[in-house]
Amino acid sequence: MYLPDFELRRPRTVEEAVALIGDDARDSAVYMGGTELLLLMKLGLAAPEVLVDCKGVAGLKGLGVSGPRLSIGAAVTHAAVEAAEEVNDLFPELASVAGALANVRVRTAGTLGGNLCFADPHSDPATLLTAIDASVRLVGRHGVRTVAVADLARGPYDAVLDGELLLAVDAEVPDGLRVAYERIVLRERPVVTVAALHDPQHGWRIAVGGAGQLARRIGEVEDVMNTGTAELGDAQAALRGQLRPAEDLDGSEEYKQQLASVLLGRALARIR
Amino acid sequence: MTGGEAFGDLRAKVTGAAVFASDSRFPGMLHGALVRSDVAHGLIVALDTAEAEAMPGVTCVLTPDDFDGIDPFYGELVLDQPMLAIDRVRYVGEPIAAVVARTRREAVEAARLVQATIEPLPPLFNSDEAMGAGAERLHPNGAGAPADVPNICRESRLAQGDVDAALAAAAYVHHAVYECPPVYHYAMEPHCSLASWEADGLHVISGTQQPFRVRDTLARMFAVPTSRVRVRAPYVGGAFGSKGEAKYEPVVAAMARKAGRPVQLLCSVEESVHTVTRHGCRVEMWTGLDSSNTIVARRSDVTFDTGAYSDKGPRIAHRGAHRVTGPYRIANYEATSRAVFTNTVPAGAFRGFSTSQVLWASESAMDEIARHVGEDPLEFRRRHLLREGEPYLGFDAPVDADLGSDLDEAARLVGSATPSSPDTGTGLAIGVKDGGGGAARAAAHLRIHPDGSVEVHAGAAELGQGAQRVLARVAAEGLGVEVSRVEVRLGDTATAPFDRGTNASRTTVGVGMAVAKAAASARVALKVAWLADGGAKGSLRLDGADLVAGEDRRPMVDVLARGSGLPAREFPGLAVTGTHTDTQEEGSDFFPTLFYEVCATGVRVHVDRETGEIRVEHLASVVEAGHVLDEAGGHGQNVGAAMMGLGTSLTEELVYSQGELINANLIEYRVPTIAELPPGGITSVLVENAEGPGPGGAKGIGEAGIIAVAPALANAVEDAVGVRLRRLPLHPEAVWRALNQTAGSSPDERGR
Amino acid sequence: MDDPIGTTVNGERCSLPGGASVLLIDALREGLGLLGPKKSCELSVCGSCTVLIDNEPYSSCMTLAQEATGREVTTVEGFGRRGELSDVQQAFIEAGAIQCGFCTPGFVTAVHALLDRHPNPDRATIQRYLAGNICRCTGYAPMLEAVERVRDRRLAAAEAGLEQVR
Repeated sequence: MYLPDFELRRPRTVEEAVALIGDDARDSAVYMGGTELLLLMKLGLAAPEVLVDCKGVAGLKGLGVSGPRLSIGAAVTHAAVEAAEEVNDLFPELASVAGALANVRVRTAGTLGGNLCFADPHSDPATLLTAIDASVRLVGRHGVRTVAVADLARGPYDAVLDGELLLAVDAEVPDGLRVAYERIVLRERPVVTVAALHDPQHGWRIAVGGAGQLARRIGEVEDVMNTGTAELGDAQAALRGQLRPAEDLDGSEEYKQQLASVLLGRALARIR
Repeated sequence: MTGGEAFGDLRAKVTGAAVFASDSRFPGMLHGALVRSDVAHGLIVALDTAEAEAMPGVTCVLTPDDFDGIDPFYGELVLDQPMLAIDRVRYVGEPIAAVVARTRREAVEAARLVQATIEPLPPLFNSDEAMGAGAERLHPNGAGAPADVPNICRESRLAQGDVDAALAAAAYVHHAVYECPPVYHYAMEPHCSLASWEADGLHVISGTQQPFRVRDTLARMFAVPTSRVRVRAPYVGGAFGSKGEAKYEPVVAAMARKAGRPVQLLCSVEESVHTVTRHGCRVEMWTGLDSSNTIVARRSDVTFDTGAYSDKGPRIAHRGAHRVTGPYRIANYEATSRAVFTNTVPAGAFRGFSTSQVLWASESAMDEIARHVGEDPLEFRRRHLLREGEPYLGFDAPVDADLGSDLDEAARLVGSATPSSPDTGTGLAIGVKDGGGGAARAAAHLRIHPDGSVEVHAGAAELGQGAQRVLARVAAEGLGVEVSRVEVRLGDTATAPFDRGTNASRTTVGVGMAVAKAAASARVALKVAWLADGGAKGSLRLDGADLVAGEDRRPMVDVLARGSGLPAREFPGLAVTGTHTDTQEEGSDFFPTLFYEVCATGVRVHVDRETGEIRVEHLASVVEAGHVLDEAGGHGQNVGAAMMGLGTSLTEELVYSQGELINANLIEYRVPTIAELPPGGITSVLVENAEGPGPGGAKGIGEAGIIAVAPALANAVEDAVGVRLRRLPLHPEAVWRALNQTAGSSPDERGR
Repeated sequence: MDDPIGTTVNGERCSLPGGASVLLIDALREGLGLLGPKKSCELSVCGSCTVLIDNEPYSSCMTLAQEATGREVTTVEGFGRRGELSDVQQAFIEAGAIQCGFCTPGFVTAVHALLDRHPNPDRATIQRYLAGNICRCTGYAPMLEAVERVRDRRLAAAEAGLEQVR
């Protein structure tokens, strides 16, 4: 398997990068770890004329904490997230999700931001970050805007990026947060992912991903849990009608609903 | 061998120095790529190669118009497969043209530009459709097939007694259908072949299990003497059956002929999957018991989906009839087994060669029946198992192992019937396969050089099974020299004596005996020369370059040269050929089995009732080895086969949609990883009773460990949570569904 | 376009064949004749093509050759010195972790990286780290044994105050 030809550009500043990415005359793609982009190109599903390698853009490698806020730059790899002390201290579940994603080579090369930008419904971090209301900062010709991770994708493999570069992923980790992340993997990628969060300020925040669908918060389940008197079964019942998983080699719609329900039950049982 | 001897292939492989076909180069070599059909069944009405030919770097495009002087058809038993489709395509992925270019990338890119116009014909996606009234015939029917049913590639029947009467009189008849889908070998190295037409004929380097078969096939197709065809199998990156007979060697030879330059054809994994698969299979089985719960009759009806071309399908169907009844004393049996053509990827050999598919049925049925009559499955099997010395199926060679004790050992290793925790269960199965595949004849050349070092040439291929080390050991033991003094060279038709191929677990037995006999002949020759030279009486041994008996030590080359009259400095050493012919009567329909590959598999599983996931906690694989020649290699074969069995039982399945494979890559087709290694491990037991026909009583064991895994797992699942699955793989959803519906899963209990 | 890339491969300065779309595996195999990294799945799943860049494991089949610019690439050929096997290579042979050998270069490379990052890995860590390297022959049990052997030897050597031998 070979890659189609392209031009490789290596901007050093955000401005240079945005100029390249936002150039409507040429079909370009942001290239960071390449774990998703090069795969799509090899499979013939993408053939951009220009790959804009932004790993060298100043300021994208940062990973920092300021109070409850965690900020992870676009060029930070999964392996770096897994290893970062700041992440392990403040939001250890994100570190463990990063450390269990795909395989070690993908974790070495791939970036958290890249994972989110590809809007892959099998994404582990997207589910966890959706649950915690994380957001991304995007920069384009018209400046910087902030988009919730939950709103980053229009649909599977279709992000809302408009000639924009992701600068960083930001999450606020409140005091007293308890987190349970559950997933089931039957083949190479997770089938269903569930993240359940609870803290005194926000109450319950629950996201479900996979099953052929993008990660999203399930308000109905959160509402049931936030009554404070709900049984696990009530939460699972509330989830039932909310998912329309696509049937694929991992299983039928009905089975994936079952898996989501089971994982939800397990997640809630762990932190309730 | 306890390990640690870094001789031969191991050192080369661990340093990256080992050269595989995909690493091989001919000087001035070009690269090939195939154009493949995207239609399952159709007529090629036009093939436009102009655009591809105009691409930079492209040398030529091969099409059936270039077949002048070539017989384009090949096949193991029936010559029905063309190297490129001629007029008609029969599966998605079938090669229809071939591009030769300066680089592989250029060839691959130009191949996309070849325009094929294919008029679709009604496709036959499965064996039911293919055998249906009025189905278009993909090929003429083969041996044993009823004339009125279309697309039967082969049908074989094996029977004894009166099954109809016995089933009619039975107190209980168990009836069930068992299915397994096609699966893929996933040898790590994709198919790769190179060809070069040189002054002394056609040279081929190929990742093949059967270099001599390939040589003979190429000589026939290209109408050249076999002496002008040299086929060499370098290290082969796994095979498991997928690299037998000819695969891409004919087309790459034709590409090189047209290009006038050597060519390498390296497939992607996706292309390799579209080369050969393991047969999907359906077994319908009726088993009758008398009032004392003893099996009195078994009828089996086996259908293998053999895909678009016969490949090894006819032989697999034939052997299926022999293997489906199982190693039990059953007075009345009838087994009908057929291979059916469909518009899917050709199916062929796969480790086990039909045994895995038919045992999936018979060993599942044994547990079901035992449970029905309220008997422990182990005891129920024990009552019916053939004893050592009893003829298999009433007519074949006597069983050469204590099957009952193998089962006992497997059961002991995975724990008793009392479950350790809820939803945990154990399962057993025993498999017996006629080994050696009619090994017939094997030969090896052995040379002792003047410096006392030893060189062995044999036609087997090194696929990772450890043939090089086993044969080195046999030669070393036979000659009484250090194994480090022996070099074994395999897989080159120009230097080795004829060998049928590396398949059916036959190398250790057949080639091993040939090497042992060569070593014995060499010893006799040395002894004769020694005595003629006036050497001392007593035990003679080769020590470095010297022959030694007691205190008498003389340079070997002097001893040999004096007898021949040659001056010692010109004496070339000693060369002998060992040949071994076993007692099988080739040609008879079911020739007596040479040895039985036996495996008793025990597993302990935990089933997650909520998700249906099966977690294998421990697997025990008890294999009859006869005599272990290479400890690490033997256990390696056993453990590796068992792990492969976990994959083909739990996750692996090739899925077609409208004749098109939708998971022909490693993202979608899931093979086991190190994470799936059972926490309790895979316990390998090699039983040595020295009853095998190989050196020291050795048997071949390459296939044994895989054959009984699937039924052992299904039996364990039933033990754990009480549901019975009759279709592979044991997908979690199937387990979950079975747990959530109790009706409709009990077998039809009426006789037929 | 043919701009040679300055890089270090197995300790030697060299230039890889250029071209933006050239993959590292093709640059190593075709350009430098380093045939240790193997092409199997070509989708970054099987690990047969594993190489180290600055001591971290990468799929050379899914990495642009240009990524190696100015960095240090290690292939299986880079382990061991002057005909001596590395401790990992030696343990693979001892444990019977080699059959057909096609996955071996990638596996050996991944194990070096594993033990570099986790000098005292437990079984779960080993399994998680190596789950991206497929072997179809051995059933993995010998690989696990090989890793544990090297781990124990290195720890024992460190404990004995000896210089680690790699």
